[in-house]
Amino acid sequence: MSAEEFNGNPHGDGLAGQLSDWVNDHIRTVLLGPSLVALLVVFIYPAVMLLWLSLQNTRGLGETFEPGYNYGRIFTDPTFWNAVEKTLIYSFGSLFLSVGAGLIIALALNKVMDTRVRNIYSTLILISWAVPLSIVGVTWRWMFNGQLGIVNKVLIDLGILNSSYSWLGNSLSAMVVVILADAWSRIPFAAVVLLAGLQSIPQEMYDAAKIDGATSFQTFWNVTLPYLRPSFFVAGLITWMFAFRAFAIPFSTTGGGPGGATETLAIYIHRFGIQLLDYGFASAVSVFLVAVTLLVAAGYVYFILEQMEEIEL
Amino acid sequence: MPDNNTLNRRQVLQLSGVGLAASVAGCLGGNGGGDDEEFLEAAAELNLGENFQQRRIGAADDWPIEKRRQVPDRQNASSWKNSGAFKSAVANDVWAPPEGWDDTAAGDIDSMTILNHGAANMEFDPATLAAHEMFTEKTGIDINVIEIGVDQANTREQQFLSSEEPSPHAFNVDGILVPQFVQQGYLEVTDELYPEGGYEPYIPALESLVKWDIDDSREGPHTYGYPNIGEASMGHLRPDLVEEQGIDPERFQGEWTWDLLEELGEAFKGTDINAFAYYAGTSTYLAYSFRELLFQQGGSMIRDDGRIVMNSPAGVRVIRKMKEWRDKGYVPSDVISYGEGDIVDLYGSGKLAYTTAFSDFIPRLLQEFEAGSEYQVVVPPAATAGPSPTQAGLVAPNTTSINRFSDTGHKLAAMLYGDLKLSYYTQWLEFTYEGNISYMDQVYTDSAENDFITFGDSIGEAIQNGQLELFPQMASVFQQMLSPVQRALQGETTPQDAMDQVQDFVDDEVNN
Repeated sequence: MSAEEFNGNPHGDGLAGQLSDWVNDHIRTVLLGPSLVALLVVFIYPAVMLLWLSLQNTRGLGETFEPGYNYGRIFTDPTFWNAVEKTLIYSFGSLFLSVGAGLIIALALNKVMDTRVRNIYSTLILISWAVPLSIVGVTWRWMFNGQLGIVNKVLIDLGILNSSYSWLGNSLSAMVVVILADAWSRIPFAAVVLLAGLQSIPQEMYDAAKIDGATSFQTFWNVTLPYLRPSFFVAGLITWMFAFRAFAIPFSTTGGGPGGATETLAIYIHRFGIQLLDYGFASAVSVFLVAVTLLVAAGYVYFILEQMEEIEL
Repeated sequence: MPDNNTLNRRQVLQLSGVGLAASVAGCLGGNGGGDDEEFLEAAAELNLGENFQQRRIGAADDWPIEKRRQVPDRQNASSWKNSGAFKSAVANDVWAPPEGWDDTAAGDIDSMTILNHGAANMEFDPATLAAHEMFTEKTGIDINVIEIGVDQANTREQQFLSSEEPSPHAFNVDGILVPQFVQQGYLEVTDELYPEGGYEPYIPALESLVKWDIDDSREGPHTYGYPNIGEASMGHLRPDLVEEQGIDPERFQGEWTWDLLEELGEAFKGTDINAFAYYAGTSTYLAYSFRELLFQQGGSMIRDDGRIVMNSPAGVRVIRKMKEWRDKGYVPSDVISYGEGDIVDLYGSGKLAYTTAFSDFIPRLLQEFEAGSEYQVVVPPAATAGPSPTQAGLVAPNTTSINRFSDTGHKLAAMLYGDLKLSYYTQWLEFTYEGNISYMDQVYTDSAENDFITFGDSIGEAIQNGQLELFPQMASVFQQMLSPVQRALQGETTPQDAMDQVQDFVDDEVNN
């Protein structure tokens, strides 16, 4: 091949050649373009439509532009604040249980010396994470069925209960059940994140603590926990964010009942948007949900970064 | 020197571009919606009204009674095709499509999709399966079924109809949603299925179910579907369990009231068997229980002037009684979470002495319990208070309706299917095999004359006592009712306050 052929445009100077030159000069645009289009279609367009719909009055069969109508209804609807309250109870309950249990499991796994055995245990724990959330909800619903559920049977056989208890028929116990179900499904994630954090703690710190005569608790409190803080923050934030938007588990377990006792914001949105076809109002509540999630996440990340700076210092 | 055998960057981009173009082309695609006028003209060309009596009903005389008894075993069979009943129905043309149908746009259709509540299979919906197989046999059009539970189906239908999706081409519509879908302009007109004299072979409830004059896009009354299944609620009693507690099961035959129900509740206290149960866990099933108990008082939701009243004394009494029975332990505390399948499972596991449930319960229970000694069908009780206590149950019909946004060909195919659903063949199997109500009067006559069905007298009486009330936005009203009623059942609010809340919603959304 001559130098001219090597340096020239193999497609010539015609349209093909010009197109080829353009592509070469704008290669980043060409390669990123499809991804940006996908982002636009999958994220930006739906978000804009959500905002637009939230400004529509869709009560009844029509749709009219009334910007403040739905947002005004949010603050006057008592069932909305009930859903907010239930969502906070649900999300924080699941957070504490899943991260707490995840920590215990991670600490136990970290003590397993044999890597292969530890990996087997880790895989087994991840099984519950692999189960679809709606299946988790249905399964827990059956386990806690007042008449036919295994939980009542075991508790009666152990003498803890004298007769069947209606777990899902009582507001308080129904909330406990859905929190337990949600926490159960999120424990593996928390355990994996915390285990990774534990394994990154330098052994020298434990050796130094031992030399200083620290007890197990003091070692845990003064060495393990501080080093685990970033992992706690990550596990906690992500767990809480998913629990705050939870739909599958409470919907398939209790449907949001009894009497709204487990009606999270997601179920509330479903009720208005899908069952009552008031999708304008449902969109406004969705905007609220997204805004709160983003606000909390931003504040949390800021807090984490500050904490991490302290640790590094 | 570049290797000419490997893909270079330009080739990758070229291939990607082609792939993207193909994907976009695949995503785009007309919905094929048929124009209203075009469809109505084409439907007229099907000639469904011509000779409809002979096609749908007359040929029943050629279907031997003994052959009709050769039905498949529900437990082991997955199809009707090898059964004597099906083969003789095909051979004797018990149903046939109108002549010339394949010269219309329906003749170009190979398959259509129907969304079915529950499932069109031998286990849960065998008569619908029999209809599908007959349809395919006679027309060559396959039916693809989307199977989905009724609570999910209602919301799924609202989603795809509001998006004007052309598929599924036909779908079951819960009776309480029919007027709403008509009002929203989702359903195609099916007038050609009901020519002059078209309602005569059928029970009056059919016309009430399908005929409406509330579609603003059309003038005058029209019909919007054909019967899918209809269920009538009736009492299901365990005589053996009742007798063990010292109550004579014969007292449930003939006239009986809530007093006996409460006596049953007292008798089973302290045992591990529940006296009876009702639904209060989902809006659809709460609607069943609420209406049954309302009708048993002689109450109603629709006033003479068309207003809907939910917080009448009879309506409030329903909630009050539900709470009282739950507090006293006559029903499981879990009734507050009971929806589709819960009471069936409880009854089937031998933990329930009596319940009111639909007639499709019967074939399943006859497989588990012995008729007469272990299982008896009775007419539901009358209330002990109310405007006019009467032994009443509920008629809960649903239609199969045609998707207005489908193309003409598929809509015509769905009309042909409707003709089959209105035929003696389908109505016979719905009643005698599956335990649903028949919309066709002659089925009751023939089955009684030939002693074809267990508990035929009780079922017939219960169906006659069944009541039906439908109004627009009924589904929304019951969806709004669920939470206040559940709070009332737990004592967090009073029954009166709960129903007043519901009435506020009704006044805002329905009565204005």
